[in-house]
Amino acid sequence: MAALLQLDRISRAFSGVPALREVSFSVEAGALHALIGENGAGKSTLIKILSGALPADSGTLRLDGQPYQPRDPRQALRSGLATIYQELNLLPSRSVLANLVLGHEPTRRGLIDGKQARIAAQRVLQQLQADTIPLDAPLHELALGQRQIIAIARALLSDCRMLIMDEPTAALNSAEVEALFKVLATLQAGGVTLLYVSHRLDEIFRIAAAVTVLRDGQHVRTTALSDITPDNLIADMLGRSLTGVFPPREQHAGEVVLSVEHLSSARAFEEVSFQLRAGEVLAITGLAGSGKTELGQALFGAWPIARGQVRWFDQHGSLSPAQAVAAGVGLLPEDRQNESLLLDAAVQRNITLAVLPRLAQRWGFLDRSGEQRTAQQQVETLQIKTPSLDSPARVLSGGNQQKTALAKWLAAGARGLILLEPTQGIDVGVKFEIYTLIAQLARSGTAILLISSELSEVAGLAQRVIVMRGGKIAAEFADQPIEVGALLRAAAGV
Amino acid sequence: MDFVGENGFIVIFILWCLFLALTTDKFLTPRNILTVLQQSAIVGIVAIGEMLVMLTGAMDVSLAAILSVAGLIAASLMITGLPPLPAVVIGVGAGGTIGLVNGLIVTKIKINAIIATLGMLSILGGLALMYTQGQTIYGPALDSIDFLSSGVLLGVRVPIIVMFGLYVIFYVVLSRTLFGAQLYAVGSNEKAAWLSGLRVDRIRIMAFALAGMLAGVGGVMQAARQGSATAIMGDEFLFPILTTVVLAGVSLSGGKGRLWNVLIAAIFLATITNGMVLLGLSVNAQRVASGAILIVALSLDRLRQRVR
Repeated sequence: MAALLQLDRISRAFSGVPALREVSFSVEAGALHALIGENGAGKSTLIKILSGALPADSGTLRLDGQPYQPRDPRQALRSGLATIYQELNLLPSRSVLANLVLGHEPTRRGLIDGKQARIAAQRVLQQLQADTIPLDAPLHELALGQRQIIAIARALLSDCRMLIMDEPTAALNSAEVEALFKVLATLQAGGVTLLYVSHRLDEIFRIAAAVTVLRDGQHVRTTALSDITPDNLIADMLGRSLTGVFPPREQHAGEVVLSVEHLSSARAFEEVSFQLRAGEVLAITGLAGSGKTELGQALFGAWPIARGQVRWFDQHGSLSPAQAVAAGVGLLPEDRQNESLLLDAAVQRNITLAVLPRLAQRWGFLDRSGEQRTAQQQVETLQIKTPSLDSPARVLSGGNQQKTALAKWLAAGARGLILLEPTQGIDVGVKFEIYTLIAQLARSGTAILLISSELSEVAGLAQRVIVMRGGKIAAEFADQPIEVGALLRAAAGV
Repeated sequence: MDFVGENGFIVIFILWCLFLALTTDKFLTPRNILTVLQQSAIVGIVAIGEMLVMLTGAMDVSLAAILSVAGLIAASLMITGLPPLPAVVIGVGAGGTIGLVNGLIVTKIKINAIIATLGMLSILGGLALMYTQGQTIYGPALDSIDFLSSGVLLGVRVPIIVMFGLYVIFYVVLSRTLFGAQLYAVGSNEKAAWLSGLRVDRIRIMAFALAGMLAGVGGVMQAARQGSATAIMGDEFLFPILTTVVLAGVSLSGGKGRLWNVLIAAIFLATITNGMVLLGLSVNAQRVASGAILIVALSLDRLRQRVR
């Protein structure tokens, strides 16, 4: 078989930091080729370069032997290369039909030819054995798996020869995954080449013929899957060891502060039970779509619970964020910009927001010097770099914003902390400061629930790790040292 | 310079005053200035409430109708023989209750605030007309609240004192109290405020209820000014209330707004009308000119923001 796509020494840097370094490999025509790597390995950058969303700094691409240098996604599409991102880029309020033909509507004398569009749409859905999906239904009425198929059908309608998919199964349930795999087989039978990005090793071993591993922006290996074992792949992905980066752990867990019993939500997770003790760092990890994020929110009263019980300290009954805060619990949201900070408000107010009720005196007047002292103290302890206490939080760097968000809970004296992806998108220096802080807090008796996808930080910080898969607890690791490879295997289900 | 940059409408306001001072000989007299302040009082008071609601990221377009209903209730109770104080308290309380209902509809049933209060505007207008049958409610009993309109304390008319008093109170509430801090927090990022343990719904309901009460105060004062009450007595305030807060730069998406700017904007609006009268313009020309002045003042604001 001939190579459809060839990459030759592709490099790309962002403000001096290399994201891809001289990556070379090729994808055989008609193959299902998997692309794997840890978070930050360079997969997204590579996809964006292939789909024309980003230019490469250097290196060359060849498609079918011809030089291929897409200026934008539209041009990539015209060359026959379509990309489906995780968020699908569909229009939820428009009909299935409108979504299918978007961007390549058949026209007659300059007007959209509705009849022709309908025929083409029906044909492609039949081809994918998905013609039960009603063309006139608004897209948002479709299940996630069906939307995924609509995105694929749209790519087919644009006559693509190669389809790039970014973690297509991340949010799907197992029946939807099976349906998707059938569609992928149909695509392959029709001669479409697939580049499939996934964390799920079990899936890759099932459906892919070849795999490319990236690590720290570099190409590690491209091989046929018949020539490699899951353990070797995991070793390739992780590479160097991470010892020495994390502060030492101490084992002196106190009394139980959080007990979770048979907790289930409508869709995200089910039958989750565990306990968290004072002074403990308990990590919950899992792939995207494993339900860990929603579980973290539910433990703070910020995600609806269908069944089961959450009990923090001596808090009783139903849980809302206000009640959780009153019980002494804090949550560090995953989305700093939109959920964590008042970006236009002063750093001082961001730090004191949760402790304000306690700063209120008679008639609800705020103790203003007390508020300032509280904020000043946190800025000094956490070494938050801010022009002044009155500067809006917007002007701080990502790392200092995250420290400000943490300071809010330290100021409020939280004795239980739920941290959702606390170091995501944060530069390395601040990352280690946050690791040290987590260890310090645990030592002083705070119970910490670290919910993270970064396996190295999970293994390095936690005394105990719960791995979730498909909304359920898949494994628990309590014996040190916790191996990153073992976590990855449990998360991926191999 | 920062102050001017953020408050472009104030520049236009000052220019307008200078122009009137130079072209008319009556504008800068103490008597005329007091008249302008008095004319701005009711809009100024109700606009405080609108600002509270807008700080939480919502909007209340029913305040003019609440004003009518509260004025009607207070006037009717006095006509039937209730002493002025309880009648006024009940009128204002009725305004607060309607505001509370607005708040509950917006937060608990989660209907868009503009739509919900638009519905309330229509309901209250209809109820008021059904109650009055289109008649004017008046009688000698209303003379007892006359001092709310024409009473004089230390040489200043009572409406002006009430207005400034309320601005001082709400300035303190917004800048020094827990409620004020939480009001701004809810408007600047509702999700973050909720995840920080703030009772977002309760805070927003409070804002609506206070806005209703302030509209009630406006209603009682309008009844005192007219010496009567009608079902449509609030209608003339519908646009001035909204114009005032928008002119003052209170953000439509919440979290941003300065109380003193609202006061200045209310006075500016009264000055526009007052100036037109002094210049001897016809009523129709007044409408054209006041619209034009507003658009110019707001354009200047936007231009400055873009330059930054």
